[in-house]
Amino acid sequence: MAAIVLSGLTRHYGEVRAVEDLSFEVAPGEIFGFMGHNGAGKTTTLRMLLGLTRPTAGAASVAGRDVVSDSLGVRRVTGFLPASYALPPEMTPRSFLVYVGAMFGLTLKAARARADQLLSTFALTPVADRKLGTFSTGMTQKVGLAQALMGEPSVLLLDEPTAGLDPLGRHELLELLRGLARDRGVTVLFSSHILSDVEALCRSVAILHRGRLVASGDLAALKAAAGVESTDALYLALARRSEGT
Amino acid sequence: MTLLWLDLTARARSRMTWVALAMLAYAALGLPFLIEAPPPHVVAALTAWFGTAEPFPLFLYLWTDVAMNKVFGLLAVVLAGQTLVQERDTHTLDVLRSKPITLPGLFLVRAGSAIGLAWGLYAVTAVAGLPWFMARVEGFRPGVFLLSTAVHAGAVAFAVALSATIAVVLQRRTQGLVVSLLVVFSLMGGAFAGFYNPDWATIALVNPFAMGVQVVGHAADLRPIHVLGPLLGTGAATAAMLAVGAAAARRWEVQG
Repeated sequence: MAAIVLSGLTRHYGEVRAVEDLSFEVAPGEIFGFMGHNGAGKTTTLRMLLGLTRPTAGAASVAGRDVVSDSLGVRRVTGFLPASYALPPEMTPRSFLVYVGAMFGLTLKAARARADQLLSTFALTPVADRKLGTFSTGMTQKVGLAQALMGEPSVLLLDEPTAGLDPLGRHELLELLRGLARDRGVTVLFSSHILSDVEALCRSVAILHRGRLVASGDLAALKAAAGVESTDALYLALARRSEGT
Repeated sequence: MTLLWLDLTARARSRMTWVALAMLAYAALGLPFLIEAPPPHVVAALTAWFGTAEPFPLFLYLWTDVAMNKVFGLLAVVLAGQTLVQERDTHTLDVLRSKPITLPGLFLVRAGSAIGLAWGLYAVTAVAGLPWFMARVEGFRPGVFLLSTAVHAGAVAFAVALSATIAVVLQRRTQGLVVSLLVVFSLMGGAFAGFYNPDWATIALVNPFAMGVQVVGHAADLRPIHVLGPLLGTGAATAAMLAVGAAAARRWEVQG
């Protein structure tokens, strides 16, 4: 059974068609690239997958749970990193992670242990008791990723996770995601407009343009079919074809 | 309950808590000096309203209405007047909403922790001030003072719940704060209406803040009904207000 299934997923805001008839599947343990320019509909799709935005039409499920009728069930097994977010400035990484653990129903003891483990994974232990309001973008992003992993998710939805990270931070993140998929079977939906990151991490992709799916499947096969070498060239070719230019 | 406790302790560690404690300490320290030589018109008014002009009922009135009503009216709005709206506008809500908790559930946690912090601050102030008041206020009755504080804390909880609910109903930060201030202080202004005019004594109890000051008006003839009735009344009003706020948060969630 696929870990993520989208079937005709659609979201309209009045006359604006943010996402139109989106269908694809992501296999368990796969790191799946979700590509598109800014405003293509990636964030709206991720919000629908979490049950935060209701689809206008179509259906979707995450880890076998329907995103509309069982959105809390979806969020119980899913970790999410939004593209644009802030963390409570008065809290520390440690207190915030424990707080998130409590949202997953962990006991205080279990939440503290899990928080310590993640602080160590992300090399945040030395700053674990510093206020989040004093953190740089890169360090905030590390805490953001740690909170997404707090509930030990089987599915990770990451919206532009490498934005704001320096080259070393980006490399570490990509390695971490590879490790999560390889060692723990975590399914990752990696949404990004940075095509080199998608190319470095994902074998399969879905490409969104103006709310519509223009291609999905094995990245190498898509490039071969389009007769291009790079993911950049593939994206441009598909976008132009979609525009009819 | 774990989440509520963590939310409460996170609030308690913020700078706002220290500002609130400073305000409360100032009120507690200064009040006994105010009643040493009350103006004659105040004594005359108190005699008319409460049938006595003893120092203790005067202290209780000033403590409840002039000091605590004003401090907690403001504090309720500061603590809860931006519930969920601030989190939305600062994009913290994007992270919190992705967890297995509904928006009404998150609203109840945030409003509940604000009520808990207000109660904690009130309790600390009242208990810490007790020796000071006993030393400075003639005829001070600690039992009546603590009962009055407990009943008034019910009205404080209602003020916090009201501010939180106005925030999620209006979904606008500035408008929410302004409307909360106006509504909370208008209701607080009418808290003693039943004592000012006995004809309004019954109808005034529709206002939860009037229930919260019942012990003040009955310090000399205190009966269980003056404590239990207001405690139940303010508790029910607070629960009803939180239910309205949770329903508004639910509507917000469905709109999303």
